Amino acid sequence: MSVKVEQFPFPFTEDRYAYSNNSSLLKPARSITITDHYLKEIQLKRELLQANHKRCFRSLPISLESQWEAMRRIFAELAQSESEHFSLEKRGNEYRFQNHLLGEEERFTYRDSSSIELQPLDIAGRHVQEDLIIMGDRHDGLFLEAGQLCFPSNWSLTFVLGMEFKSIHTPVPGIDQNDFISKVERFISRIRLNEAWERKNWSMTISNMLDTPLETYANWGKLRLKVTDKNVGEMVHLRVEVQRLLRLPMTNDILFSIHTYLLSLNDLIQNDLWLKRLYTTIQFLSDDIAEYKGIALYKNELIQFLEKTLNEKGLSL
Amino acid sequence: MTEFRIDNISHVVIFTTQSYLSQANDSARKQTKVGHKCEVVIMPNTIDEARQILTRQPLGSGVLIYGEEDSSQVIEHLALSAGFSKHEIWINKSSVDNMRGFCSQCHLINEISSFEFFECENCHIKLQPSNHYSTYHRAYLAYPVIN
Repeated sequence: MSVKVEQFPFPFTEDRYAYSNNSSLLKPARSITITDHYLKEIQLKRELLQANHKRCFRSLPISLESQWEAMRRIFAELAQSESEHFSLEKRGNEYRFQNHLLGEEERFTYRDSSSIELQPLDIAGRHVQEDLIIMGDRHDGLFLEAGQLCFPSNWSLTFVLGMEFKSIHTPVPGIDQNDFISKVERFISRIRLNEAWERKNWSMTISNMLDTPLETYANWGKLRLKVTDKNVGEMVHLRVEVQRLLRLPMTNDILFSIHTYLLSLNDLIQNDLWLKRLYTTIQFLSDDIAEYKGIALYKNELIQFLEKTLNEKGLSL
Repeated sequence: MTEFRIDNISHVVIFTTQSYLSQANDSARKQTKVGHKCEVVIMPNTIDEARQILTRQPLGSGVLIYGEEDSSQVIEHLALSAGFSKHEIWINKSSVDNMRGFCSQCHLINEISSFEFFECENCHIKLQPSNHYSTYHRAYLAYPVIN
């Protein structure tokens, strides 16, 4: 499901890629963005939840308080920032959230589980395009304690449930160098109450599939073998995750939201600056990062396609 | 076997199956000698019962677990959910030394003996274990092999 070019959050600000904590403070603090693909992506999300609920939603009992806080926070944010589409009424502990885009409403009594049929994060996630994760901030580190994850880029929510922040990132090449992952964890642990930070993460996906969980890798992973110099512009998509970290003020836990965008290379190369930056980034990408990001199998075809397009446009680097 | 010694713990609840009872009692005696208050509990029959035991523990408590893989893991997860940190939970490793491979396709945890390829007992997909280890599942993530 490719996004319109003008809504695509192109991630590269420099010509070479290196892991960095490229986070920026968001003012006002926000976790959610509504795009033109809202209706289609919500429909896809709900189909995935219906068909594969255990794959797409997991939680530990300890996360329940944070889930309530996250749901209320998300509904309040939507009502405030997208007031033409959403509203939230509060009377004592009774809440009524209305989604005018879907013609739906959610009524609940805050922190009363008998007032809802699903867990709070599972309800909230059905109204937003983002995947939602709760990271519990315990005195011995950050732990993934709940998540609604429909659009993962080759990872499994079930596997990482209950894991520490550092262990979750074990597969990232070079993550231990210079104590990088510890620094990132320290950065997150110092995020202040109600503060939100944003960073962009990127990879490549073959086809315009948002849902590429590890659980179905045997199906979609094969597509990487089908990329040729003829179809690379159509098949290969730049995948960008806009990741936001928000400190929940009551529980002190972290709400981590991931909004995934896809753009085909054929659309991307219409922008000359993006074309040049993608080319230099891919060209200088180390082999282990290319492997991790799923590019290694068709890196040659990708580079040849970008070089050919640069030449055709008469662009120099 | 590493001794369970955490300076800021004053109270220890020891969960054990009947087969590990003598080891658990030995451990309780050692803990008492170093000043910890100890409570030895035979592995409860129900999750609710175990949860109640864990939630009634005072602040500054630790949890020791003697048992087979599955029951140990259940108690560990309940203790984490009850608010114990990983540093406050200790599992008798002698009974859980087998390697485990987490099938990334169907989530079954398979007993494995090495990092060689193996076939998942449930979905029969050929899998390659990775070095990505979950202390929660106590298993290595295994990826499907695509030919």
